[in-house]
Amino acid sequence: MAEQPEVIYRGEGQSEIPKPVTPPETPQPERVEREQTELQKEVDSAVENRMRFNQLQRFLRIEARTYPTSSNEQKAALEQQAILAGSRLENLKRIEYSLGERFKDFEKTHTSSEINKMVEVEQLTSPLAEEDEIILNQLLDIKEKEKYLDPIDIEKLIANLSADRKKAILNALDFFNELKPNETKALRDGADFKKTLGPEKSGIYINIRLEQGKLSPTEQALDLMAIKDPKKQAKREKLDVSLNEILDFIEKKKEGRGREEKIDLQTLIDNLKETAKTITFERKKYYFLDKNSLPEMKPAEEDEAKDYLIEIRAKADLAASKKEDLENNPDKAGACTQMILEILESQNVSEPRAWDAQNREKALEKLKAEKKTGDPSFMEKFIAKFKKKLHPEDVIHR
Amino acid sequence: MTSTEIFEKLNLTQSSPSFKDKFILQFNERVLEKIMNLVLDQLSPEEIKELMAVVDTQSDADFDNYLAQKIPEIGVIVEQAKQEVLADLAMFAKKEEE
Repeated sequence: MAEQPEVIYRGEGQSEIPKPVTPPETPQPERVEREQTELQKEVDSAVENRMRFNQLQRFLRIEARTYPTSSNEQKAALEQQAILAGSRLENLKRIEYSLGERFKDFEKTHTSSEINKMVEVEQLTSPLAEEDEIILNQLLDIKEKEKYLDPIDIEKLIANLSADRKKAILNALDFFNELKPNETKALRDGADFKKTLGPEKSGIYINIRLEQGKLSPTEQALDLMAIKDPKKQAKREKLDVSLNEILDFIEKKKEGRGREEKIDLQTLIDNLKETAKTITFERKKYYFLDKNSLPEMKPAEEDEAKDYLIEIRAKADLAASKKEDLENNPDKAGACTQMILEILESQNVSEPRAWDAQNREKALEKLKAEKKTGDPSFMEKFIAKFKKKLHPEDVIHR
Repeated sequence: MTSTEIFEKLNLTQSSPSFKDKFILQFNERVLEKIMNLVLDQLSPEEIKELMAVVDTQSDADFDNYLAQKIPEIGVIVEQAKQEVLADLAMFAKKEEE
């Protein structure tokens, strides 16, 4: 009976083609050189693939924050609060640090009464500190307890901040701004507020706390967790599993255990391809174009996103075609893996944090402007005007 | 201040060119926002109302004249804004190191 040609996988949308049967080879210099070239190509493609997987993983993190729920407004408000908490905490730390530094200098040259006066002046001229006081308790609590609420699209979240929430915060601000410095300090230090404020102010203080309590962010967050979309959740988990399996494979290869274990890389890659297809185009758009800065997609950007989809599918196909070599030749797999790991180690993990930091600053600046002007859109209007008068040297270029 | 200095300070020298491009765009936006708040800090509540009216209803030239009249040292504010934005963002880079 004639030998049947082996079939190799060509990826989605392509037919299976017979792989020619090759005669036994003998080692030759040309062959060694050719293998070296092929190996380099494999390394390059594996590195590309791993970077794509890594990008997908990053995308996953974004998707985990943005899956649709039937209560988007609630979620947006909560996330907004979490972001504000982060911003305000940093601002508070800056103020405290600044105060600490100034105290050190003042202690050398000033008396205690002068220093106390300095404390009062600082409190009176730092309205944000009072603002921090009223919302930090509640918002930092959310930040700590609801870890899944990472910062996302700041602009959208600010727009979604409810009128009730704004009113509650403003009422609280008014109240705290009118407190005497020693009353503010006593509350901040956790003193009994009834003794500190007296009966009348205590009543107002309780009302403020109740008004904030109506919004019940922690309870809303818990409700939100219960109603999250089970289908979306399943897709995310499946993709997570695929990525984790591939990472495990790489780890085992690195440790040399991959030689003994029969790992079906093809299956892993197929799983990844299938699950990648389940991610909506919209999500990929946000991932690829950076959802925080581009709320609307332009035609050129849409083309770019489509190219990305095609590219990642092609890379998965390429990885599939290389699976035999990777599985059967531990040395080649080891070389690929080593290169991948080096790339991974050199990748800058700071990028997502950098976006978060930028977004927090944006939220803070916008709130400051809104507080001073009462106009939520003033910042955009001012910047549009001011941009025109900037000199080229005032703008930082790449 | 150059973009290279910014990326070095923020530990982002290894980032991709496309990331750096977008980051600088956002950085410039942060500077503009900071400039706006620094300008507002210089004005009284009445002057802020005036500025809002100028922004809403007056021409670009009127806007320039108003700012020049109220805040002659606007160049200093622009430079201050850049430094403050960089300092704010540098806090996260420090945390990354920790």
